[in-house]
Amino acid sequence: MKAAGLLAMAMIAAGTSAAAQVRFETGGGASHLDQMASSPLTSVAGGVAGYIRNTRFQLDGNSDDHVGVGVSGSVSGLLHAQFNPGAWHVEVGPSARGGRDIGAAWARSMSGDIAAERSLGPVTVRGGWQFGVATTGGGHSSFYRPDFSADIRLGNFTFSPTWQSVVIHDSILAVRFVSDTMNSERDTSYRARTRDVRDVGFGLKWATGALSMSGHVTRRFGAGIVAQTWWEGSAALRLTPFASLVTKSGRIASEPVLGLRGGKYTTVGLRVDMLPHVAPHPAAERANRAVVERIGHEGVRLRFTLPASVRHATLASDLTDWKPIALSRTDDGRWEVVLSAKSGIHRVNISADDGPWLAPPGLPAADDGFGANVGLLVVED
Amino acid sequence: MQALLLLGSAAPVTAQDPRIAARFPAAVAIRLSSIVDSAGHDGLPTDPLVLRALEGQVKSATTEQIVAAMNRLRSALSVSRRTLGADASSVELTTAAAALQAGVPENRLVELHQLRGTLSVTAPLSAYLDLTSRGAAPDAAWDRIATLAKRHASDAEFGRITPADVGTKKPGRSGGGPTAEEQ
Repeated sequence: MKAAGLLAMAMIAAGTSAAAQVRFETGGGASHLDQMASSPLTSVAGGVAGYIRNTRFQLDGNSDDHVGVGVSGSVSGLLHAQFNPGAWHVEVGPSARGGRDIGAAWARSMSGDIAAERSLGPVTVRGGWQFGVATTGGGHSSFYRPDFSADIRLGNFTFSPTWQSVVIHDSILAVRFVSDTMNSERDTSYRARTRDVRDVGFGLKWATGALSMSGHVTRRFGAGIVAQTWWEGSAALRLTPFASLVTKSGRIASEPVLGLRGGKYTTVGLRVDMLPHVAPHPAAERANRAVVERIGHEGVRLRFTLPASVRHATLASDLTDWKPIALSRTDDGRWEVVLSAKSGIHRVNISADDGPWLAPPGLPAADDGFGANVGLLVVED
Repeated sequence: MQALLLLGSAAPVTAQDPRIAARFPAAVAIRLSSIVDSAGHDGLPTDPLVLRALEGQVKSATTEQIVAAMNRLRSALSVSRRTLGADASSVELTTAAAALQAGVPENRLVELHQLRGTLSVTAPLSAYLDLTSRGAAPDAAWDRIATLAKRHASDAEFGRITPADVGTKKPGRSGGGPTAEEQ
């Protein structure tokens, strides 16, 4: 989410409809995978995400060395077209995943995805459906995965209930040896089974300034599944606009489609987010101009155009005593807020998807005296 | 009774702004409040200083950065008060301070105050900052503002100026032409 926020803000700052974000993360700690011995852990991860007009792309990968036990890793990518019918944000497109468990061959899956999301002030609701096929060391599978979640933002806190179901139809390669006194031969066949995995969870995020913390607890149950609970907690301290100290700990669940094992882990590491400089495009800047509309003598309505990828946005200003408040997405895809405002010059910043505070697109920007920019809002009588 | 009077004279004479008290540790709040109190004693508006401290807090600035930012703003407010006089409103002082911090020379503030007479400088200064931040050349934008101020234009007239207007009026000036977005 942090990377998405940075990416969105890069686009906001640049005023363009194309941008990319590169992330690199490395850490060390300890792990204890299921049915494996405890071991020291070193991990590297990286990713690139971006937007070209209304197409979102993302590629991520990680490799974990469980020292003395083995190496595991995964890669994933997606290419989604984005639409904004009314106040909804909709994405459609393919995605792919690959994963390698310790001592196993690479497993891989491909799927078609559709997801819809809508922001209702401080609440964002989203739902999705994924249908795909997978190949693992044990056979082939088809699966579908509906999910539903919401973000409820209260001040610096975000509460996130989640629900996800994965129904997997496996074709399992069965091998048995048939022998009699004279001959011995291998009998190879496929047999089918269906697994229904349901995850119900609850997440909590808290962020203030350079420090952010998050955690979630999820319960898994379903047909043919051993019920289990897992959790994960993380904290990130932004050292510079591009580098953060990150610590994570938790118990991760097994990945049912690719057959990756779960386990416990604790790591401390460094994350680097790299933003490119993209020159503003005049047409984009013109389209992104903020709309400031006076409401009587005491109020003002502000409307901003943010990238289509933005999930939620907050505003802080001298008009709010610098308390962050949520912007609402309008039917035409813009973001707006109504505030009490006297005439004069006011200072305004917005943050998209928990990204850094930046000057809003379309407002004059000035040095804020704290190492960043602030938007200047002129309110006339 | 005398002891009570002595105690009373030793106590702080101004209450801490509740917004600062609520969002900063006690020791930091005392330090920031002393800047606010000092400005208040000098007849300067204190709310902009409180808001600058709150802005620093939400942006995770260090205490030293916040103190420096508040002192810079206080200095700009002092210059604004000296230039615009005792009758200037809090909004005028705040706008003038923003203009000074954005690089408007003090002599231009003096010039604008003289041209406007009893009228507020808020609208022309706001328009000037808006124009320059949108790419208009400072000299060209100022000429346009001063021209309107000389003929005692209304606040609304200042608000209607665009960078293209500045460029049209001063096509020969460097940077005074239309900005990229108008081309």
